[in-house]
Amino acid sequence: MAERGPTLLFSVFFCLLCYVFHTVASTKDEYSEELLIIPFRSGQVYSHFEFTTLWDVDFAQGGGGRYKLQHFRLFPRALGQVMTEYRVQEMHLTLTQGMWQQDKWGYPVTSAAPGAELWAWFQQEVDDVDQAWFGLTNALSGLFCASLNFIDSTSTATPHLSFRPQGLAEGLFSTKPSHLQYATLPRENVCTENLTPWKKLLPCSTRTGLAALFHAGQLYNTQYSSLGVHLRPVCRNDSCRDASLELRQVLSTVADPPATLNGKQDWSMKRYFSRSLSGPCPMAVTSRVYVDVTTNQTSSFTLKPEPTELKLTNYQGYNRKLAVYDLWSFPFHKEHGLNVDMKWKKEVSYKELFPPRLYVHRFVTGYGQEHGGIMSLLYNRHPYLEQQIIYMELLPWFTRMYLHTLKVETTEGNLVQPLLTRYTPGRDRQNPYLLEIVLTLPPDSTTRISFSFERAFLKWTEYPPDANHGFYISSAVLTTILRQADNFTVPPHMGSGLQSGLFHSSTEFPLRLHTETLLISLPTPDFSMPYNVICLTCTVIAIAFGSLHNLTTRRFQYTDLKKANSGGMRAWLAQLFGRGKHATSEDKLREPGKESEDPGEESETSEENDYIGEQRELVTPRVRAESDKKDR
Amino acid sequence: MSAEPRAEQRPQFRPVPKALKYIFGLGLGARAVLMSSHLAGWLQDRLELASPVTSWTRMTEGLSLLDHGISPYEGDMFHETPLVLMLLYCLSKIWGGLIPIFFLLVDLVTGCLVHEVGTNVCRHLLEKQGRHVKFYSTDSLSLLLTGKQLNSVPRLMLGAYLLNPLTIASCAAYSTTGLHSLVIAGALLAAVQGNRLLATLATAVASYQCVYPEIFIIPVAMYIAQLEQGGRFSFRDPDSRLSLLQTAGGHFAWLGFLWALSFLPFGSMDWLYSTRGFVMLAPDLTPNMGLFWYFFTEMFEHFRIFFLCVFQLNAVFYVIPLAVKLRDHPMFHLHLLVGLTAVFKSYPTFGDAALFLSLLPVWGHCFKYMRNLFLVVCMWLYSIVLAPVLWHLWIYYGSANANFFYAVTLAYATAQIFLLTDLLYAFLRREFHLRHGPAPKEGQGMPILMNLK
Repeated sequence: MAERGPTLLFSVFFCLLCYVFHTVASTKDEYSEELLIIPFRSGQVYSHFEFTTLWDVDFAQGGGGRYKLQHFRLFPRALGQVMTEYRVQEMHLTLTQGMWQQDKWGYPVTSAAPGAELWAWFQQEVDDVDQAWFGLTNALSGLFCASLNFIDSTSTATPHLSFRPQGLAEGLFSTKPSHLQYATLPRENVCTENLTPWKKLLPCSTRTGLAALFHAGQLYNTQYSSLGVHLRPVCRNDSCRDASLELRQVLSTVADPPATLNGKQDWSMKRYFSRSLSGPCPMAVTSRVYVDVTTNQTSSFTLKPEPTELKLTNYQGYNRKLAVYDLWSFPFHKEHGLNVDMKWKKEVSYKELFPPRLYVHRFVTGYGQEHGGIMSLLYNRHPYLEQQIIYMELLPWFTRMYLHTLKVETTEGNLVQPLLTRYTPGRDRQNPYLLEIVLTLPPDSTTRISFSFERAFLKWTEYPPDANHGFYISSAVLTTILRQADNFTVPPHMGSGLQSGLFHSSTEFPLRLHTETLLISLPTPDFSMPYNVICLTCTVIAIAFGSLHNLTTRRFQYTDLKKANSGGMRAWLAQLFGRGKHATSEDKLREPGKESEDPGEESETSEENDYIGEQRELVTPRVRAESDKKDR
Repeated sequence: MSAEPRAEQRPQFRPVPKALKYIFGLGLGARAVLMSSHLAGWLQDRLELASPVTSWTRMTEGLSLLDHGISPYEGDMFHETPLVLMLLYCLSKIWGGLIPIFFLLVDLVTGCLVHEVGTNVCRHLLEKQGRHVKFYSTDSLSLLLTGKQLNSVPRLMLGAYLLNPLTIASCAAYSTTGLHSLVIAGALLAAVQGNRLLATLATAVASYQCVYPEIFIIPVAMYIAQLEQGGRFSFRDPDSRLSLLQTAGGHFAWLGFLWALSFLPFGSMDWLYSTRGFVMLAPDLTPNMGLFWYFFTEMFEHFRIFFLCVFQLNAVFYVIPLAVKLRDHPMFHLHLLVGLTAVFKSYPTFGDAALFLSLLPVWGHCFKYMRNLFLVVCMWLYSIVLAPVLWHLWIYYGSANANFFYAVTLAYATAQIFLLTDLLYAFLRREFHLRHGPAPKEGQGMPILMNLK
């Protein structure tokens, strides 16, 4: 009996411990990692990493859509605390270097604006959205080593149409239109200092799993490279009675093998990431690599090693063939890991590429530094389907947009009537100009949206160090829902993870496209001039002030030149040149007793004349003649 | 300025009422032709003619914002007053063709008002001369005004306004500067007629529209008080003070009424910040012919507010010393203020200066004492010609820089300052000679020169 006591105690203690662990672990979380590799017809190779963490947070706990993130397991604590602190419901941050070329590459899995782009929906209970936004941008700035702290009211807008919540937005998660904040930093340079903190958020970091491929030197030696962090509440299951928090970390790069190799599109992990895979991340439920081999119908390339599975998908008659490497079932060899290797038989032949059904280009128009214009060309190449789109333009305050010059027309010259125009005029040094237009693009047409703007003159301290480099204008955003998926690299997924997009059968495909950023030059002052300008302008004002002061505080009187004569050199000169009015020597001033207030009473001149009279004899005729001439 | 000598000649050689018709015909014809030519579009963007406040492009933007149901005062694109906006909105809704007709009419009416101002001021000067002639020196007969001026001066003024290339260009650019000139001319006319109700209304309208005419109320009040009090007027006299206060009170009552009226269209006072606040704080540093833009572009941040106060005070402060010095000549004071605000306001245009130029003929009898007229004319011509040239070199060709255009604006401001101070000098000197004779008495050669003490 004596021996059973401790055992019982231990069992009870063990049960208690299990209970505690159970309650903590009941907030279940799940992590998956995926990589999609697509060789483009244009010769480039697209690799898209997607790391998804799903966390079944108890949202109702805080009341409303409010969640209190605690007991972090797979979800990054650094990010979770920021989200809790500023009550963020949905957050999308992308940091991008380079420009996605829609007409060559089709649509990306996740579209991103060049530079930094951040948009967030705050929970309904947030009272001071500006304050929360300020806090969020500063926190994220520290978290990702990006200049997001430079986001202020001059670059922030609240679009009403273009950026709807991507996750749940009903019930607990309903929010107000004013709780959306959107900002871009088109000049942001993205590089390894952003990648390092980003990859630290991953559960396995870069030690194992797909993230082991991240070698900064290689990732940023590409044509396009984009980092993304997307956070949103999603349905936990089909019934959608409960919600989960989804964190998507996305990294996309586009490498250009033909440019570095002998014209061939050969691609391998070793070459482009300088590593091979050694195994899945132990935390990951799913760990897969997909290679799009649809273009390999004629065995134009060979793929090594053999994929674990070949999958065929079909959406709306568009077939896609994917080679899948499931890292959990892939027989990893001890010495060398998985190095996906594409070898092409021939060099890339640059033939005509078929741009996607819908794409957009944007340009700066005009010349000189006074006015300018922006023109966007929206191409709808579908032969018979109209396309309804939302076009959003966010202009900084120093490009003052003229709404009355806004013109929407097809290139044939037919006016397109916008269904809806939302415009928020900007304010100098406070708000940007925000324009959102809803319009229907006619089938098989090019629609031109154009307007002009005035370039503002900034204070000399408002110019960046290289003032003549110009100012960047963030990309315009085109938002729409496509009814066909044939142009998608991966159809946008409503569910979590790449596979939900790759193998689903939706009929509506929401799409967002970002246009080119623009570089415009503003007129500059002469930066070396502040002292000169202050001196010169003040001199001109002093001329006015001095003259008026002189004329209003003094009065005319006749002055005796003889007396002036005794005033030394200046008076002598004055006499010589007949310009006695400059003589100011003391002795020719009147006695103070003769002052009188009213000019009307100033006319008594007897004394003065007597005074003058005394000097009469001393006049030289020459001086008199000059003085008379002067009076005339 | 350049048109003035020509206009000066015409009525002298042909003193027939027909002259008026010619001036009207020529002035309106030139405006109409320029408006319909392709130059009109170019003129609309000339920043010498259209400031951010008066530019037609911005007015169009305001009208378009109204069309979209957005208050034009929400953004920073529109700075004209609500009443003018509503007026032009109604006109543009009735028929787009009314807009050019409206601007033609505005200039025509301003011309008539300037003509009337001339007639009234001349009559006032003659009457005053009649009253004061007993104080004048017997030698100064040659300096006295004659009735002839009653005919010639108003015509000269009309010509100087309607035929001035600057006002013609300004009108063709649809710049609302013309409207500003109209209300200021109206204020001048109402002031010289001496009706308190009308004068306070007119100054209130002018200051509602262009802010700076707020200071006009001081000479206007003095003028009305002098009319009422006759020779007894003094700043210390309670009756005079009451009269001054009444005029000032009337002015602010009217102004309050106009503000209340402007509250109605948008139901808010946001417009006050966009119009008055904009003129006072001068946040838009787009170059113009004034002194503000480059100075505040290059200003050190911590001195900005200080210098802003200094510059705005500088624009209005002169009213006080002038009120003391010119207390017997409120009309001259008023006309000088028109000129001074045209130089020192934050967003001046050529049109503002042109109005002052058209007022000059009234004071033609002082011209013989002016010292720098030639210099002023040369500097004016220089700045008018070089301003667009150097602007293009800077903004479009990139071969000049901001300093070039800045130099022109400096020269322009200096010319106007010379003109103003010279006019004041000439006026004071003539007054002196009227009382002391054109030359020192008891001739026979005296070593006497004029001096300011």
